[in-house]
Amino acid sequence: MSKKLTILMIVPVALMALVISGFSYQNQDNKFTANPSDNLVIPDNVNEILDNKCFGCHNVDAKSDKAKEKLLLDQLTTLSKAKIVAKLDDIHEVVEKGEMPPEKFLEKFPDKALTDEEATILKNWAKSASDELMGE
Amino acid sequence: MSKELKIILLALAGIFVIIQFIPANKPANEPSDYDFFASNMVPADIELMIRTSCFDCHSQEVKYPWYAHIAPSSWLVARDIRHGRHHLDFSKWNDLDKRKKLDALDEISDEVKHGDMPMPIYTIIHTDAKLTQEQRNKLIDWADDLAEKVFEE
Repeated sequence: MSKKLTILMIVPVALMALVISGFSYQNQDNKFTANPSDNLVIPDNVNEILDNKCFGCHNVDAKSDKAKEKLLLDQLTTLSKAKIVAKLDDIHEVVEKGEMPPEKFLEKFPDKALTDEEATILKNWAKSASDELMGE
Repeated sequence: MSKELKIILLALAGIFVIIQFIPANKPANEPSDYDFFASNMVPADIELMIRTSCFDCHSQEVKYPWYAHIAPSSWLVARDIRHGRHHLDFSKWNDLDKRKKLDALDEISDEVKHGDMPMPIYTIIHTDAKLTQEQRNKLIDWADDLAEKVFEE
């Protein structure tokens, strides 16, 4: 086989490998699964929305300091009950007001917008989980 | 002094005088019998920290500095106090329900942890309001403890 042909074959294979490893890297690292805890259980359908629409910014390794300061989903369930109530109330409020995901972010990633159904699921969960913790 | 410079300085002085007539609407202090610190058994060192670093915007015991009476700084002071009290007013703590108290304490803990409060622009002038890391940690622990107590009530 000529040298040229070898290179021609190696390049696409290497590129494919890079793309595949890139994808799997994303999948492994950007997946949100709540830490099991007695304080808060996150149902699968809520977990999926949080994973798809929120976790990209609200995780310990994310770039945005502001998002991380406000909420770290990977630590949510391990907080005290008192703090979980406050965080759930915040989640309910920002979704209700349509403040999250932020408008600026959605300009770049319009597919990250919450559908009406997703917003309703999130709000209902935040409210009922918070009420339950408060014994209401 | 050149003629142009004189004109510019005079104009600036004129503007300064004129803006003094634009009211800043500084929020007044409403007297109240409620004592946040006594009611929540706040330790003395924490009380001092909160009084020094938070009370000028988050209470009805605001001490207005001299520049709060002169435009344009008076506008900034008035705005910060209005915003500050809107988010948290220690003097009206008891008007909050349990849930709002938990929200406020979580916010205190987070804002202090991340250095957002006291506002850096405030501590430039009020250097005594600056919090050391040790003070921050104490304040955070206190807020988290009080949140636990409020939650158990």
